[in-house]
Amino acid sequence: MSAKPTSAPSARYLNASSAVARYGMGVLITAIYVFLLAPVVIIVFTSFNPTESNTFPPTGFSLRWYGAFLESSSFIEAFKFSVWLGAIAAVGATTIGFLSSYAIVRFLGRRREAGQSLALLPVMIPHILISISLLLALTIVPFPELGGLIVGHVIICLPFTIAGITASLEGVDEQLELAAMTLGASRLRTLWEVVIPLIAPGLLSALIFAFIVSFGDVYIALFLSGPGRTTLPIEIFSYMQWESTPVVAAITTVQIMLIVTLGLVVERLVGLRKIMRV
Amino acid sequence: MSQSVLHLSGVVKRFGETLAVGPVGFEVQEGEFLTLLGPSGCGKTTTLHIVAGLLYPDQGEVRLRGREITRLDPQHRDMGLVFQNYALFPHKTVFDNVAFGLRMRKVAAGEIRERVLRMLDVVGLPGVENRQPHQLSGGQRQRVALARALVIEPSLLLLDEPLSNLDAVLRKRMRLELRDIQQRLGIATIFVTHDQDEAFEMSDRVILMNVGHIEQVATPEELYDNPTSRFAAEFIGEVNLIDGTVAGVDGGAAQVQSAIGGRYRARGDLASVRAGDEVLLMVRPERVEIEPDAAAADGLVPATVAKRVFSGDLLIFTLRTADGTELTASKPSTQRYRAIAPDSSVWIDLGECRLLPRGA
Repeated sequence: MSAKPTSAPSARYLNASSAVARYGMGVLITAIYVFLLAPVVIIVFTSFNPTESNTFPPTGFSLRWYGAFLESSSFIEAFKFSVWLGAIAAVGATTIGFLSSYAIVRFLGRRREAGQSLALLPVMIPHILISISLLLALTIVPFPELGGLIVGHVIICLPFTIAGITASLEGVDEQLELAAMTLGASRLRTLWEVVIPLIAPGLLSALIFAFIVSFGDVYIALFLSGPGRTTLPIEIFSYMQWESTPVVAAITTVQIMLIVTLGLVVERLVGLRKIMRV
Repeated sequence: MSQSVLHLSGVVKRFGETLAVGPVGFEVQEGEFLTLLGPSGCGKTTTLHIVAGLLYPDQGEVRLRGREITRLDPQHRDMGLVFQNYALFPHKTVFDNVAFGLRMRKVAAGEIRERVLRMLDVVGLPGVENRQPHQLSGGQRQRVALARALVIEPSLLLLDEPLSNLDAVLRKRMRLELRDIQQRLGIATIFVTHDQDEAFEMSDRVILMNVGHIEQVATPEELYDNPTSRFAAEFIGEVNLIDGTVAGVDGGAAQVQSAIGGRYRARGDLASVRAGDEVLLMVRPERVEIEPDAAAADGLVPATVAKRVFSGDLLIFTLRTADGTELTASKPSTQRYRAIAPDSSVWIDLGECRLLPRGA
């Protein structure tokens, strides 16, 4: 900052104090991570435990509970249903999110900030409220039960897809679109030929992110899934009301692996931080 | 007069409350290189975008070869537009960039290949078709953008400050090359620039714009010699403007008593000029004559050399007359003018001047 002779001693002083700060910070951050991740670690360990009860530390190593998961048709059905629902909700939320984001970025002009905030609003509303309002709406407008569940999941995924896709779209120079149009492309053709290829990583990560959000949802499914077909979290929830075996830990571990893998893919594509900045 | 390719009439464009353009009207002739010249914010790019269909005017009409296209979508306009930043598709190869317009027109693949390669040849870039835009230099990108706009054989080529992102040397070379390509293809062209040198070197005609309206339409020579307004005179090149009073008008020229003492003949728009009017006399620096020899100075105005700047081929003199007016004279740096030292007394002659209204 200032001249060299004066800055040299002060630099040494800063170094000394930052050494203390570094250790202090290190301890603090480690503590936070332990606090956050300990339950996850315990669950993962429990899932490999051979005994009936959820004990920690584990007394041995066994894939017994993973076997139990695969043999339980209700869990497998719920798992498949969650994947199916997540895929549909992801495609729906990404499609609607892309169209909304394009409109927000290209057509709203000065009202863009307002449009963006409005689109991100569902993230502020407790999901249980969205769920209850949808349930009430369904008593007025007759709609197949599955429809309500899909709509609910699309709604809770939308803020995430819109946030990610608007960020990607902001990186696309509008002149590229104008150029395509002067060369004879319609608006739709321009989207297909120019815009979508340029934001493909953003779209793919929006898909994945929406899938993760849908896959982890409890509140929407709690009210809107019928008695016959439920999602995995709800199946786990109702199972645990009567029984408690490490099969739940096994299922949870599978879910954790799935989400971590998808998260890594998104991170590689665009960086999670960009999307989390809702 | 040949058929006009483009005809703009009464075009007005507002952005909210602000009048961006208008009313503006002009024609582009077959094969003509027309330049929209003006300072930034004068509405030249807005006008170009109205021609291209990227903006629709609030009033007025745009016709392409007689057909009204005022509110036609850009994709149906048959115009090639080169953007200032080139706007090459970064995810497509050079070939796919240039082929884009032809693909949109559903031209057969074989013909696309042939035409794209031929056009890359025309713009002087053979053999780069498989590269990505980011692998090209600025000048090369510019040529690809030009090829992309030209390969569709548009009725009209639109160039939006295409040279402003190039370095000085390349810019000079591209001016001549662009003009050369335009003439070989014989394509009517509208070129937008704020650079007077570009406008002069390349254009058949120049439209000088200022705060949304057309100030003057003329050939480069006419615009330089006979500007019709103070803005035009000052925007184009160096200029001396001297206050004067009209003494009388006779046969196509006015006699003007100047503030520096001399009485000069001046041409210009004399229709509304009367004796006694306050006017401006315009004279370009190279037209100002300097006479060091008192013997030959009969009837000339005395002045002192306030400053002399040597710039190689030219000597730039700042001359101060008795009333304090400073005039600039640029003269070839020959022995005759090098002999004129700073602070020496000289006599000056303005010859025939250009008459301009005092106001704007």
